[in-house]
Amino acid sequence: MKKISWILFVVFLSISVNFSQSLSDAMEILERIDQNMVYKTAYAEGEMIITIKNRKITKRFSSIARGNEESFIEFLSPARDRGTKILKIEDIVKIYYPSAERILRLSGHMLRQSMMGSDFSFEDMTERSIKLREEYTAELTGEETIKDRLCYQVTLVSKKPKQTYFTRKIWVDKERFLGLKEELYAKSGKLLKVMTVNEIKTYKRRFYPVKITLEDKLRAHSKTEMIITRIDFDVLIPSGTFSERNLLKK
Amino acid sequence: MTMNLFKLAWRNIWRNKRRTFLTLTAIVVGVFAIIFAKSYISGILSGASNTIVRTQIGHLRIAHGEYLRLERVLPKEYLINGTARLEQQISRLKGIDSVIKRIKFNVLLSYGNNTEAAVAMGINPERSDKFLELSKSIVEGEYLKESGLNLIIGKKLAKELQVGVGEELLLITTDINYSTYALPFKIAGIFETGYSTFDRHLLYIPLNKAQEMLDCGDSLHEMLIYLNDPGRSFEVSRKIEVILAVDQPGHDYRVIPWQQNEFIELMPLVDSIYNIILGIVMFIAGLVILNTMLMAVMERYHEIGVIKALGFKNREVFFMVLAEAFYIGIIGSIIGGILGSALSAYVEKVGIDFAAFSQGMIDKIDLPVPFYGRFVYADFSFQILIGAVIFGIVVTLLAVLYPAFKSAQMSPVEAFRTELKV
Repeated sequence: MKKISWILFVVFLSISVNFSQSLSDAMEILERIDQNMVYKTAYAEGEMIITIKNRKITKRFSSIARGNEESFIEFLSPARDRGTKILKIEDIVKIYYPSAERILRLSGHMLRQSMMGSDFSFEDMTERSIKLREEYTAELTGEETIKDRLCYQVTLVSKKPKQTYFTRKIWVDKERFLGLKEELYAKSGKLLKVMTVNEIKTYKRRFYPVKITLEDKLRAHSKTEMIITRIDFDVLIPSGTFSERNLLKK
Repeated sequence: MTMNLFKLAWRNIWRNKRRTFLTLTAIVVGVFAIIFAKSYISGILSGASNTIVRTQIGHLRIAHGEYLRLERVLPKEYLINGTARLEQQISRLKGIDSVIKRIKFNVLLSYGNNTEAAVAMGINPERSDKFLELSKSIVEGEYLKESGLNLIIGKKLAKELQVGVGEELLLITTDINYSTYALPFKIAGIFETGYSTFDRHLLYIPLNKAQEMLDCGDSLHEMLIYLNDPGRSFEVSRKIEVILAVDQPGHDYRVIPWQQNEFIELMPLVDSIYNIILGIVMFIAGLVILNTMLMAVMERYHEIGVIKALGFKNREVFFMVLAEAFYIGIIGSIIGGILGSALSAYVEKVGIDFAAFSQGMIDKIDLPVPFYGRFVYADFSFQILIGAVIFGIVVTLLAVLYPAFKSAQMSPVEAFRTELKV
């Protein structure tokens, strides 16, 4: 169920049927999360509730994903966003704008832009969990209780100086190996984004976060709540789903 | 006797041509430098004010209070509504030349694999052009058309994207309801104004396409109002405030006369800084004139002694030296005035290619206002000429006061004792 919706890769939330063992090594915690993200395909529907100052805007979307590598998201509402599609294959992100009937491949600084006016950036979406273990050094920096759950606090520091989020603090549920909270920092130490998991549901034997809030701290009075309203695991995906042709299809 | 004194003085200055030429040169150069420096400085200042009024603020600018407060980030959502009615009512006021409507927002531009962030400006091409004068700055292709998906883009921006006229550029933005919207535009033309603020960051699209992109109906970010008499801006602004209060009670719009623009308000300060530089130029010019005049009189002690021995009174010697300085001062100032005026007038017309002078340095300066353009034009006026000529004459006279007094006091015997110099 890797990559149900792109959000998962930001925070590498995971599902675990294992009970916690006493783990002290931070890298091992990360690996455990990764190991638990073994699922083939998934289909999800959901909405993003963007709150800016006094305004609240709801955007509905559907998403199909295969593993960690491929995903296809389509926006269903509001009217001006309907038909906007995002295709992700590995690290390549392409977006289709129905108003212009054009496809744009996102690169460089564009990946750091707000996605569909939300607190999420495109980069947040393309990021894969594997990247975290390759590009960061992890250290177990403590244990803390988040929403009555015992958590490991893992601190990641980037090996690359140019990383958007140079430091990350992740609170990982000790039993379920699921990130419950994450703070993302710039190299200067400035807090850029805060993610919190508000609700977790159990699907068959899996734990899955269905309500996540992300706050872009650089935008005044802004937060985005992501709610998964429906999710099916191990679905059949028609061939050609993850293609440019599918982006153009009306 | 007085007449003879002047005649004598006139003859005296032509007796030693080399010395006269030297003092004349000092005065000519001094007056010339003052005229050109002052014209050049006024040119920069009035040019900057003019360009800001022409391209950015009009004589009056109406915008939402929050838009003005956050203008640096161009907040899309703070708009002026009911603009059709407002425009009608403002146009009916006396002394209005034109009302310009504008939408201004951040966009992402995409061409091939290149993307750039830029500022898109929605305008009515024909109506705006009287003041914006962009059609004159088109270096490739043609000016913006009233309707259709076409745009004109700054030369540096086009270069960075590697696009040319006729090619298609994708514009992407977030509208006022935070939806993403994109439209493909065809490049009608490329402009080069010489101001990097415009050439590097801006593109212009038809107003209605800008409104479509933002999904904001006929609302606007700015209304620029141009008056027949810029001096009446405060008076007209009060009238517009009355219209707004009646038409849209409880609004948060501001009407700002051009004099209240922060950069225009800064101009007197910039002016005084430049005047200090001018003061230094004048001081040096004065010093050079003083020095040469002093030398010219000092080396004539012997000769003055002879005149005194022939029966000249102290007063007569004093006025003779002063008269000589007066002649030289007038001739030098007039020559310097003519040369300085000629160069200033030329630079006023043709301009100095600042970019060529600075060898690309100017390209690296990224000012938020069109202050230094590629070309700098002087602003010569008759007052500058008169002022400089009077300065030249007065300084010359002042310079000889002391030596003239000294030579008048001198006894002939003492004068003969000083070495003879020719």
